[in-house]
Amino acid sequence: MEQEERIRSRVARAVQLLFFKSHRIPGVKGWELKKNLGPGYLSIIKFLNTRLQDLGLTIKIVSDDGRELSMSEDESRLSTARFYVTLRDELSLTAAKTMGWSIDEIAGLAVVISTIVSRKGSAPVKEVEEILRKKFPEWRVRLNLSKYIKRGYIAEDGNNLVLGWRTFAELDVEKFIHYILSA
Amino acid sequence: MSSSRYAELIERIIRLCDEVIGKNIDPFVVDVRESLRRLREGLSEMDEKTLVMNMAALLKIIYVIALQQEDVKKRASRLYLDPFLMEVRLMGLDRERLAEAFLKAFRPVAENEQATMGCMRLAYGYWANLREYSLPEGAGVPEAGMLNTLAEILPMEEADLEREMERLLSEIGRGMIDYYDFVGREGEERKVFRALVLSFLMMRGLVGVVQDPLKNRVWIFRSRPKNIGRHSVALPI
Repeated sequence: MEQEERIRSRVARAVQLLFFKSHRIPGVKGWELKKNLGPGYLSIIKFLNTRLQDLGLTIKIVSDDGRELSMSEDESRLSTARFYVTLRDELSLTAAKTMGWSIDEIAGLAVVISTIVSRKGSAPVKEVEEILRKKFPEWRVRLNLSKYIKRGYIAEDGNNLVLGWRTFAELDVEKFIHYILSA
Repeated sequence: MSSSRYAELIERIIRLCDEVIGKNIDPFVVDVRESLRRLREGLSEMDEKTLVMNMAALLKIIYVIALQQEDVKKRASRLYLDPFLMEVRLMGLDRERLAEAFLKAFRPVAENEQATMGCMRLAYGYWANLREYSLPEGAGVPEAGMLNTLAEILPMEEADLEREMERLLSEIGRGMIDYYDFVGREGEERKVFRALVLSFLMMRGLVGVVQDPLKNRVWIFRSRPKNIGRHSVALPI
């Protein structure tokens, strides 16, 4: 009974860590989870993941270099990786709109990310703007780009744009490119 | 081959390799086999200085070979895409299909915004750096009901105001104009007046306004009365 209560409180702590932002970026690093939940933190996370899946959510682990990791990955890699709670299932266009996205914003982001990926992960800002201008009015291009940067989907690297932490956390880039090419 | 021509050749190879390494351009523009063959040609009659240059060129070529290897790996992977083909593909898709393709692979993070030490520190810094704002001494807030009529706000006839509005409207023309440039076009003295006349145009829906809060930019554009937005916007002058 006592052990059950201990597990329950650890799961509750894991929920707090994963859902509530304590840094600029949401989610929590593996070593932070270990520090707060103890050495057996992965079993707590696995248990929480099964509960979250019933609610349409899942725990996603992303390494420093933007790769998605599984829970069976090496401990040293997991400790530096970031754990996020994301939606498990596909989002409909209507649902995305209720979350504050407009079709133009989503389409613009799709164009920006595909352009960056097709240029080996780094594309000049001017080129990206030029491509966006073919589909959107000038004022929206600037507005949208600053929005994507602010939200972490892309980042500025000198005069170039690169993929940001949020793209790695929220988007399966390989699948996305596949969908773009087969759309 | 003379030693000066040989040195020139080595310099050319080094320069080409540097271009490829530094500017992230296609590493296959360097013909490695040909470069090595030409470097080998002068090996027999080299002085010490040329030998060092030859070594430097060889090192650069090795680096280019590494880049070529990486490029081949990328091209072989499923993620290799030709930028031009991708652009053509993107232009061929309408907004809905682009959005749909994105959403199929999109799983947003569930997060709860809350005050953190970091954002509190940022907010405090912002508050502490805010310039104090106060009215000049003696200039109190006007009493309610004092400025009721147009004549009291603007010392001019209504017909003159209409003319001013028409003049400003013709100045806007087509396309977007920076709000601050527009109101300040006739100098500081006329700035407030122009902003006020512009606000009448906005109220009638003849001029629209777009704001970029991140860059603190405001643009105005001509619009039709049916496009009137049902919200009020405060624009500092």
